[in-house]
Amino acid sequence: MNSERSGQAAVGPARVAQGAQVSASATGPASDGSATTLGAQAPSNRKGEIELRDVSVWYRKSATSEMVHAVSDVNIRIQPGRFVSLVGPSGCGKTSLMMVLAGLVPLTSGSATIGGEPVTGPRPRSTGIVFQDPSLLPWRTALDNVALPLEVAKVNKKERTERARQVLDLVGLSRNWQSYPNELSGGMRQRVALARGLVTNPDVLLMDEPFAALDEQSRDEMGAELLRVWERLNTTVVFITHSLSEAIFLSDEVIALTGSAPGRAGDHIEIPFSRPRDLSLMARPDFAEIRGRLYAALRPAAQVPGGGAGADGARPS
Amino acid sequence: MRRSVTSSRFYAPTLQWSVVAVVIALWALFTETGVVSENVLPKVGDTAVAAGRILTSQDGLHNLGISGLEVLGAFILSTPLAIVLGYLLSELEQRRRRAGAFVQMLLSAAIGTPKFVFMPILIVIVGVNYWQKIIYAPIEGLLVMIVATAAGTYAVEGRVKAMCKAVGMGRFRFLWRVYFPAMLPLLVEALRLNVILIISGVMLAELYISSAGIGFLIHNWSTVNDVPNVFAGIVIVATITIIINALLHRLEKRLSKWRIDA
Repeated sequence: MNSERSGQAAVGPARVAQGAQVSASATGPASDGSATTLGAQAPSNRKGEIELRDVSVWYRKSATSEMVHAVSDVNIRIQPGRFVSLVGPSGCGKTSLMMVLAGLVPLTSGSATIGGEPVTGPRPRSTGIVFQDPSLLPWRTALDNVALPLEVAKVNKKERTERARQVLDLVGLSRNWQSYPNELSGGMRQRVALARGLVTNPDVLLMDEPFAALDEQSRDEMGAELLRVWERLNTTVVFITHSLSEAIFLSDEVIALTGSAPGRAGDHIEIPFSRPRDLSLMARPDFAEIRGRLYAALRPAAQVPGGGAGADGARPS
Repeated sequence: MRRSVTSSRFYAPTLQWSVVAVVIALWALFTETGVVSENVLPKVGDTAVAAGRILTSQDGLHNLGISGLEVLGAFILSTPLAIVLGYLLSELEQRRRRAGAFVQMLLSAAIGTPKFVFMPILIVIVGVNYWQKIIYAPIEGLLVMIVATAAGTYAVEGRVKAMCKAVGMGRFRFLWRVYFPAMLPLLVEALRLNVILIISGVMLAELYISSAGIGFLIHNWSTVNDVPNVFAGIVIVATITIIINALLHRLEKRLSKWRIDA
């Protein structure tokens, strides 16, 4: 996995593909017409492959019963084992797309597939989810929270305890497995949530602004920790964030969503930095250059009347 | 930290017992010095003797047992019903906002109405017997428990529901593994209130019109001006209520440990 990533990650200028059609497939066409090879040494199976085709999502706001057009005609293809971030202003439909992939919100039109299979509902064995809030059950210990998906999957107690402890160890919480959420710091709780997302060894891990509630230092540290964990796994990660720096630091590719209710997939930017990465990367001029490009790619969205705060940040419930 | 926790554990019961001791001391002072007439407030010793007699006599224990069974019957009748109705109310509020708000409005009106005024109607329907008390007693607590149960369901936030759905949790498992534990501290709190309200309801019904029970005895003693027995009955009922309340409060605190933020 590491060799695969470092192999595709020669430092160089970011490649920016324009247009709403976004493709990050191994051999899929970029919108500039050229055949691209992104992450060319992808795993041969399609287990972690994600494809959204012409996806539109409408949902009804629970407070007002008003229909909201969250995203429109989104096309995204992510090959297995990649770390891809979605960035964009509030209300551009990032969370809606994640909920679609999680099987928690139905598509209005288009298709969504993971590993070549259509997403028609939650797929707990193959898709892990980490929300902005850790969403831990406060009456359960860290271990029991992490083991929850295995418990639901009726894995026997011995095995689920063993696996939960392994994952807690992986996220650096080997000493806190018996702690209750109220005994853990915000960062530790988020690590527990990450461990819960990883405990089923999913093909795809969906992360919706998981570090947004943390202070900047903890956020950076958690980002580095996430990379350390991810580099040991063969999991496709879809990471939603508002932070451009975070997205660039973590990802193989960043997809900019533009517009607001409905949002659309805009540019995608290939991140050329080698792995493993450390936080000093953020101080490099080429990092700043990519950040500038990404900012420019998002800027039209910020100029949309009502953009940013569009749809008053409403999310599908 | 450990020291302060230990101190508070020590001081809380000490303070409670001190208050009891002060009340008894003042009671003794007023009655022994003749400041208050024995026709209004009996001597502590006389009351204690009367209480001992009630707790050892067949008649006293029989009537206490009847009141206890009525409380238990009312509790068993009302609690599961209140939990189910509270859950259904919360579901209604989430799915049909207006209908839920309407039911909430009816409940608020019912809670604000003195239920005792309906006692004559109840007596006309079921007569003067156990059922009159068992039906009347839980009405007050039932309404409070319905509201508390409905409020308890809101302890489970939407994001937790989404997480549970995402990990593949089914509806029944969600109810049992998530809703129930999340609601449990609130439920025990509501149960505690419910028991107190049921005891009050049973006492009220027995004092009003009844043919048995400790409330019935207290009422009879009061009509013949047997003040020591009246006070002994009151002390027994108050002590039992305080003990039940304290035990449920302890259980509630134990179940609520995880609710206290670090």
